[in-house]
This record gives sequence, structure tokens and C-alpha cells, in this order.
Amino acid sequence: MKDNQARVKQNRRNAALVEFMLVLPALLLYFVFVVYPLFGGIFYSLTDWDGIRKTFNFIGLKNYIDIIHDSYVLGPLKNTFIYAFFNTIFLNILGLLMAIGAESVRRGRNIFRALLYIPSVLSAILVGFVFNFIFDKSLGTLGKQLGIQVMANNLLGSKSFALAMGILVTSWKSAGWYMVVYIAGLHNIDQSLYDAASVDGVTGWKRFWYVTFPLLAPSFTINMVLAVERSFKQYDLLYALTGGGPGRASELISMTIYNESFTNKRAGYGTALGVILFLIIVAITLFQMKVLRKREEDAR
Amino acid sequence: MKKKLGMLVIAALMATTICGCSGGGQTESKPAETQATQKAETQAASGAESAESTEEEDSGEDGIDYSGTITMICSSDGTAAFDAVLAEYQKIHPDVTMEYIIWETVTDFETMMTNYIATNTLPDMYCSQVGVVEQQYAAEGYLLPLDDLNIEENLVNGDKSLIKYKDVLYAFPMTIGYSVTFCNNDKLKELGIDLTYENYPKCMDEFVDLLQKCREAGCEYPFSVAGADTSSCTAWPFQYIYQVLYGDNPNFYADVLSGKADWSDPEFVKMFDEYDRLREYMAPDTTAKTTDGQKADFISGEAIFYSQTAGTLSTIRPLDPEMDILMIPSSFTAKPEDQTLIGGFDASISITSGAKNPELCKDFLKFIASKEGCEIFCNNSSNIPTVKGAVANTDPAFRIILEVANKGDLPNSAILSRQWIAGFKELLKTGCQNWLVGEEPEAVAGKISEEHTRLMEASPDWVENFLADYEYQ
Repeated sequence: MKDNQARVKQNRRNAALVEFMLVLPALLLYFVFVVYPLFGGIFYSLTDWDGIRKTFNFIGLKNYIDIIHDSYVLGPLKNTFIYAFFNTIFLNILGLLMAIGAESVRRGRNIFRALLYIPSVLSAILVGFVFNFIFDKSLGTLGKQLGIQVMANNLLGSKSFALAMGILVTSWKSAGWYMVVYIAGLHNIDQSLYDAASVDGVTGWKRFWYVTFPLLAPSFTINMVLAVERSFKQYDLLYALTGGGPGRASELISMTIYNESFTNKRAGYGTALGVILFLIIVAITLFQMKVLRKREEDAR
Repeated sequence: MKKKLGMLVIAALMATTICGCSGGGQTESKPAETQATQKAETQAASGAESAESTEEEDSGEDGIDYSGTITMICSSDGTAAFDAVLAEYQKIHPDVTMEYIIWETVTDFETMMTNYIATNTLPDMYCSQVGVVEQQYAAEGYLLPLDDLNIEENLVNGDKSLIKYKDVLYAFPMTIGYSVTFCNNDKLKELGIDLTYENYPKCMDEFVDLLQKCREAGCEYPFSVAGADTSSCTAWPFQYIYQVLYGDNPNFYADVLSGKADWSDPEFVKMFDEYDRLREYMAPDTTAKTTDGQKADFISGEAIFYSQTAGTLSTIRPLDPEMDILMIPSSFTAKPEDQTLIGGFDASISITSGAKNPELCKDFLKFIASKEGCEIFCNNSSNIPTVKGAVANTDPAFRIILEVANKGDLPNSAILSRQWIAGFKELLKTGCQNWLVGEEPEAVAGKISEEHTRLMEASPDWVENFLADYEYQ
């Protein structure tokens, strides 16, 4: 009996060891490529390193204090919040509409879904350049014909419209991805609930508002969190589309981090900005999780 | 248990494979390198075939038979020139190949270098615009000194201040670059305008008159600026700064750095007034225009003139090989007698301290810096050689520029010898874009001044070193 117990214990220990060994490679990779750079970044953010010199000075929190008063940084940070706010709204509305639309198609549903999803797999740089051409030629010509001067002269060249056009293009490109999550959410809704709603005479908008939308809460949480996080980290699409211009009208904080680190040769300062962006994303994500999880529980 | 152990072994193998993949990813993630290597190796193979029997006697001057791969960072249009030089070099050293890492803009190049420095993975050599970075890299020990190659004596006369650090050579310039006004001569002829060495514009008034003539002849917006592009957006302002601002006060930038002058001073604000005279001849969609759009306008004749460095001809020429392009000296001074030709050494090659085979790199550099090597390089990149006695089949677009340079008509404004604080070009681009969308010149200049001060405060060492080394004129 005792032998048996000992063998069971030994087996459990062996199993735990094997499981740990199985996880170890992934853990090591995570440590090397995520944890180490993260702490490395925090370390460099406390220095005046220019990215080239072999030596640097430890300057404590000076970079962080400077950032608070730096209008060069606060402008793009404001742009990033505007971009993230509207982008999150548009991506979720579009994604949800596309999901509901795609699900209501009876014939060729998969083709329809695929067509809506294709923009998500395109390269952001490619989309940026293609839309650059569209804004210049196609919409420019349309603007000339309609007599809309700002459109005729290319909306990307207008300080008032450049960021807004960036939001629209991002929404067009990424909504397909959010659609897929909503489609999965729609499939998880029990059909009997719709049947019960029909018996009660609930149809159309009311059916969506009182049945579909509350039960989509888990999908909504995922999409909201990811949309915000991705919007704050956006770089390539906006860079290809506007380059942050005209002036700095559509510059996002990720571009400022790049410019500070590489163009202005202030690697320490740029890294401090990166750490601040990280903290902003963490704070917003935690807040979202708290609010949205509560909503999920309420919906149950 | 056996099953679990088996799984563990498989997992370990997978992890090793993943790590192996990531370790080897550096070359795999650079398609440009792979492509270029394949090309270079093809040439190596054909070169080896012909040189096989004479390998012993044909090994280099010093009798050493070099082999290996040189990793070179260069611009996309530089690979053809390096391939051509390599093909000739392979006749002596058939087992030498090259891998390229491509940059599109100088900012790209500097970013790449910063990454390589940070990760201690510097490539063997690089070819980039002669600039302030050479001295910075040399000061930090990232470049190998080139004095022992005795190649400096090959160079034609020119300003060598930026290719040397503490009087030691660290970079060898391959071409002479000019900052010019590009003209679509086909379109000019079509409009009945004949631009020649005798009648090209010599000052701002003459240039504006020429633009007006083009407009009257049917080209509504003859001057083009790609407002969305840093290089294009700042090309005219830089030409103005070199010709006019430095013409009036050669020490302007040193004065700005020492606090005696400021970007908000009237002489700089005046630049926007002069730019305004050209804006009338720019298309209304200038602010968002990209370089591709600018090239399309130029080739189609929708626009006739633009300011840029002559080296960018290599990006236009392949689009229309038959096009009659003309480059003329910038003409933005108030008086013709103040006009200058803006030019200097360009496209310099350096060997980094990370070179795996420094002797091979030095031998290759010695070859490319020879009369023969430089001729091959310039013939394959439409550039003007820097080596004494070297003659290249320069693109006909250079005809007026070369005549002016050869006759010594105009004093030189050494475009590439000017040093700027890191980030200045971006800052000027932002200012110009703000001005293009309608901000007042004073406000734009004020913002440039403010942001420049911010950069100075962030790099006090750079400012101090600049002023310490600066020779007032």
C-alpha cells in the first residue's frame, strides 16, 4: 500500500517535471524576447543614452519628468488618444455590423465572410500606399468634380482631415478581424433564446438589443481590449499613409518614440516614452477589463 | 512514462529548431540581401570559370588570395554599381561575394546603424551620404581607420572635413554630389523654351520669370514639391540656406548654436517669403504629394521643375530612359553674382569595426577607390567620379552642371560639409509642411526655433563639440 502511494507520488512528481520541461522552452523564449527587453527598456529609460555612444549616464527619472512638460510629446499623445478612441468605436461597430450582415446572408456566406476579412490580412504598408493613391487620384478627381476643394487637394494634405482619414482607413483594414470574433460570439448564442424571444413577439432591433448584444459581451470584451491596445501601438499604416503629417497633425506617439530614439538620437528619452505608452495601455486595459467583465457577469 | 519522455525529447528538438531558426533569421529576413547574394554568386561562378587556370598568378597585388562574403549596407540604387565592381574584382579574387542590406533614406540608414551598434552586429562595410555620422562613429571606435590604404591621395580636391576624424581618414567618397534644379527639357522644348548653359536662370527673379513663361505657355503648375516627403520637402529650403543664408553669413548655424542668431531671425523668415513666390507655381495638392506623385508629374510634363540632389536622377532615369532631363544650378539668390553651385563629396564607403574579414574589406575598398574601380562604380550609377583621372559616362542630364563646374563659373557651397544637429531635417520638414498648409512664416520660424532649442538642450555635448571644432569664416 505504502509502495503504491510512493509510486503514485513519484509518478505525479515525474509528470510535473515533464510538464515543466515542456513549458520551459516557451518560458525561456518569453523571458528572452519579452521580459528581458522590457526590463532592458526600463533600464535605458533611466539613462541619457543616444543610441550610438558606448557610454551613458544614469539620470534617474529626468526623462520622465521632462516628458510631462514636453509639448513635442503631448501633441502626438493627444492624437493617439483621439485615434484610439474613434478607432475602437468604429472597429467594433463595423465589425459587429459586418458579422451580423455576413451571418444573415443565406447563399455564399463563406465567400462573403472571406471578402470582408481580406483587408485584415493585407500588409499595413501596402494598404497605406494604396489609399495614398486613392486619396490623391480617385477621391481627388471626385472632389474636383463635386467642387469640394479640400477633397480635390487630397484630404491627407489637410491638417483637419489627415488623422480622421487615418482612422477610416484603419477601420476599413482591420474591421474584418473583429468581425470574426463577433461571428464566433454569435455562434455561441443559444438558438432557443431567439425562439423564446420570437414567441414573446420580440423581433428586429429589440431582438438585437435585448438578446444578441448582451450575450455578445465576451466577444465585445475581447474586441474592445484588443482594439484599444492595437490603436495605441499603431505605427506602420499611419506612417505609410501620412508620415505623421502635414506638420505633426497625424503623428501618433509610436512615431514620436521612433523619431526621438533614432532621428533625434535620444534613445533613453525614446525608451522612456515607450515605457509610458506601456503603462497607459496597461492602465486602460485593466480599467476596461474591470468594467467589461462586470458587464459580462450582468449579462449572465 | 516512456511516452512522456518521448514527448519531452520531441519538445526539446522543437525548441532547438525554433532557437536555431531565430538564430539564423538575420539573413533569412532580408530578401534584398539574399537576392543580391544570388546575383553576386552567379557572377562569382562565371568569374571563377574563366579565372580557374590562372588563379595562382592572378591573385591580388600583394599575392594574397582573398575569399569570403562582404556584407554591405548601401542604397537600393547602389547595388548595381557594387555588383559591377565586384564582377571585376572577382577576376582577381573569384571567391569573394557580397551581401547587401538596403536603405532607402538616410534616416533608414542611421536607424539601421543604431540597431547594429546596440546589438553589436555591425556589418562589414557601408556606403552612405557623407555626413556627420562618420565622425560620430569614428569617435566611438565603430569605424576602421583607412590611412594605411593610401587611398586619400587618389581623391580629387574637395572638402575632406567630414570624412576624417582627428585627421585620420575613415570614409572614402565615391561620387561628387550636387544639389540642383531638375528640369523636364522635353516639356520645355514643347513649350518653346530653350534652356542652355548661356541662358539658365542665375537668380530668383530669373527663375520666377522662367516659371511664369512656362505658365503662359500652358503649364499651370511648373514647380513641384512632394510635400509629404522629408527629402523633397526640405530640398528647396536647404538649397536656399546654402546659397542665400550662408551666402550672407557663412557662420549662421554656428551663430545659432552659440546663441548669437536664431531661426526666428528675419533673414530666415525671409526664406518663406521667397518660397511663397514659388508656391504660386506649385499645384494645390502639393502638401500631400508623395515622391511617386512628383515623379509622375515630372515625367508626364504636368510639372517641369523641382529641387533635389543630383543623385536622385538614378530613380527617375529608369522610368523614362529617353527623357531629356536637365539639371541646372540652384538660382535662389537675389543677385546673379551671388549664385553658387551647391556640391561636394557624396556616397562614401567605410569599413566598420565589426568587419569579419577586415583585410578583405580593405583590399576591396582599395580596388573600388582606384581609378578603374571608381570608373566602374560611377558608370553603373550615373555619377561623377571622385578619383583623379577617372572618367565616367555621365548622364547627359549633367551637361550644364558639369560645364559650370569644369569652367569654375560659380563658387561652391559645400552642401554635404554642413553639419546639423540630429533631427534637424525632420524639424525643417515639419516647419515647411506647416507653412505649406497656411501657417504664418513667423509662427513657423518660431516653432522651428523652439524645437531646435529643445534638440540643443537634449544634446549639449554635440553643441559643445561642434562649436569647439568649428572654424569661423
